Amino acid sequence: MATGLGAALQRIKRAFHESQTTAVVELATPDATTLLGQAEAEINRKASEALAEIDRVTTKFGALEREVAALRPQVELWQRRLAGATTDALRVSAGERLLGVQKHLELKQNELEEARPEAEAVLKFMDEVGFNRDEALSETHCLQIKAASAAVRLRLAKAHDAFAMDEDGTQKLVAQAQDQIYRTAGEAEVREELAGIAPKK
Amino acid sequence: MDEMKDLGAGKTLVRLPKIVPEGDAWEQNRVVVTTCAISAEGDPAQFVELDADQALLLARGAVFLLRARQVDPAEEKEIEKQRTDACTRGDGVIEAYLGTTWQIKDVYGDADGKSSSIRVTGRHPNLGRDGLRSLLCAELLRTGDSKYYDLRAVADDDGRYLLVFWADGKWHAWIGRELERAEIDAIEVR
Repeated sequence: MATGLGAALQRIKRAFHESQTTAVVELATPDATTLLGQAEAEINRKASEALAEIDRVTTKFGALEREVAALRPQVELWQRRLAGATTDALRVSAGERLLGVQKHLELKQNELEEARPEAEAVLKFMDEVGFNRDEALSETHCLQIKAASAAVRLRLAKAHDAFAMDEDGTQKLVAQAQDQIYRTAGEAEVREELAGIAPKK
Repeated sequence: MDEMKDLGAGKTLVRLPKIVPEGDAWEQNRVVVTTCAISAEGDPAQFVELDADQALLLARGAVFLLRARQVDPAEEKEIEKQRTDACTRGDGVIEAYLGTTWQIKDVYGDADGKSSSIRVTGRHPNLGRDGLRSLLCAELLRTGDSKYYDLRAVADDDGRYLLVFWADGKWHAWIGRELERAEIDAIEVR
């Protein structure tokens, strides 16, 4: 158990250690903060771009889905009209329209199938990061990206790289910021240890 | 159907089906002549008068394409009697009107006009010119609103749809058919 003098010395040593640590961290923090700020801005930018890309893919796919869904009843309508035609003129007219609508439907179905793999990959990813399809399509969510959790933003930023194949330095920037933090924390610990040793001399 | 909500006097309906296809034509283009809002006991409907003496009734999520039937005073009395009898009997049937039996689907309003009204909400800017005419009575077109009561029924033999309504002292009769969803979806409003 420390004596009264010993306890006082301990308090002084602790205060000294703390002042040393704070000073070191204060000196080191601005660089790390700046770097983290840059990383965050970059993450936000890429996350927004990823959402825009997701929006583009899903909007195109959604429009094709709606178009195909709207064309199917038109094909059925003209099939019924053809079957119910009471004169040759009406039969020919219905037949021509049926062929036209069927051709249009076939074209749109092909476009839909071509777009499907990309859209499904995007929707699967959106599901993984916690957005449902409607949210992915929602402009509000695009605008609210800064309110999204850091993990979601980071995943979106990574997705941006996956979508855009952008080789610039988001990962590098994040790694740099982390190194800086670890380095700063490491330095602080060393200083603290050194400072802790000092009073014993 | 959503697009049909934007119908306004002066607009053109493209790919509107024909009530009965003729020649080699299944569809037609028609111009909106007048639009009316029917306030019918909390069940509002829209009556859209087209050129060529045709009209659309948008009611209860359905769209009916109708053609005007000119009624003389004798037929007006007949309609009034048939409606009164059907309402009094309460059996939901009109016997022998236009040679067939009609199943009553809806009856809105009453003769004192307390519960229903019709209001003209739009008129084609060239109404009365270029062959554009309205079959609504002149008084209704002038004042813009009136008491209203009607009867809506379906023919037993061929499924024709009948709308007869009273407004501003005159009976109007319209006969046609309900449009299919795919037919409605194909219509373009310009």
